[in-house]
Amino acid sequence: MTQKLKIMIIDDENIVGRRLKPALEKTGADVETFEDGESALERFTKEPFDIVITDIRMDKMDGLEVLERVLALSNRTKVIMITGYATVETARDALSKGAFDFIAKPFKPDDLRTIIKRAAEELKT
Amino acid sequence: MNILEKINLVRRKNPIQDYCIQTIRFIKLLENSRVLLDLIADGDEKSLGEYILDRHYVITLIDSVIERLGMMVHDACVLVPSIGKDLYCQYDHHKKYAQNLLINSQNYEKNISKSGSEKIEPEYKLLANVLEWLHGDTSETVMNFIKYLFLNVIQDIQSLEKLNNKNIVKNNLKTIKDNFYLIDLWLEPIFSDQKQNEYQTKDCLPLKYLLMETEHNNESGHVKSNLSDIVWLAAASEFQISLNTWHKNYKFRLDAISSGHKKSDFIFTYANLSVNLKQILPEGFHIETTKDGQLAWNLGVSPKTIEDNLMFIGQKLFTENKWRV
Repeated sequence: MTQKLKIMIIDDENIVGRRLKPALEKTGADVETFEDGESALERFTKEPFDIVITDIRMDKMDGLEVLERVLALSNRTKVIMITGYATVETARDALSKGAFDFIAKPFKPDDLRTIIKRAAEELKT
Repeated sequence: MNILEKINLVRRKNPIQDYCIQTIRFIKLLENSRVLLDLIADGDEKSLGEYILDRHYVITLIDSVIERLGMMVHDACVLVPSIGKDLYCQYDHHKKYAQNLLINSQNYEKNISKSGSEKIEPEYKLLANVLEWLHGDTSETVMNFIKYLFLNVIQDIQSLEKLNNKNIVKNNLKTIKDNFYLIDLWLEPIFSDQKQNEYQTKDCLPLKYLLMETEHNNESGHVKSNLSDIVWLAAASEFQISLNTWHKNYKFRLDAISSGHKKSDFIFTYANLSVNLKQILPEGFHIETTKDGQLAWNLGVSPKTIEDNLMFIGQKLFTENKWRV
């Protein structure tokens, strides 16, 4: 039996987590949502996640800091960045720091599911 | 020619040069309205529920609409300064309306978090309200303001009498067919006397498509070009055309960009009520009819569709000539 994929969503706009959670749970994943980086990292230190989906622009701790700290705790975790500003610079910055991929808001859950599928395949290897 | 002579030539009142400047500004207005229509279409698409969006998206949409609307009002005021005060009053009204949408949305969010009864998520509720403001059923929508702005601008600049009289056109411009005159939109005014006559139909891609059927029919000898009593004036560049009629009863205007790039190409037409616009346009055009005239546009389609549309319109205008009510 294959293990369930554990996914963490971090976005200070709670609508993102609220809408994404059921959309990703349909694929059979375990999904937890957080509205700030601190509480998400606190949870992550107790139990690592396979995939972290984080918004880049957040008030207290931004997505790039979340990315760095998640990878420091677990380098096998795939981090997917979400942003409202799909600029080349932001994408380059996030990818150079080790992000798995990048998606611009607004997006369709299907587009994110495609990225998650790729990440899951890479986790298997 | 020394520098002083050149400056004097530029300073000299040149109605053709004024017409070109006006046309270039009008195309700028169309480009800005095209961006605004794209924003509205994007909002419509995102409201269908397939997308995950946040409040930031909706706020950015509002900001972008207000910014672009401001650019359009500026263009309109440059073209017709006399309507400036009226347009800026209406523009301010829209800005205030947009601010109130955001304030009401925050109140809605507070109320539902207090009561716990959440029928529609605040972000989607705000987007629905924004779309209602943009092109809903009420009379004070952004779309109605755009139509009002265009009709006011067009009705003023449509009067080609600003070129004083036909003699200026006849004496200075090249005629490529009966009653069909051509201006190079970007030609430096100081050279206009020598070079305007060298401009060719083939130098303008949209014009080439518009006249394709007429050329073809002339070559085969089946149907003669029938431009009749209406005077046509085309201000053209490599990828742009602004075609106008010069007739007391039949006002028709077509502006098009056909550069081969889907994101920038479009066709826009205006006609007064004496023109049977539906007879001229192929399927796919968005047509708005008001008591002051008819506006129609086609955008966001492939370059091939734009080419086909131009050929179709050219055939209706210049070969079949059945478009008058």
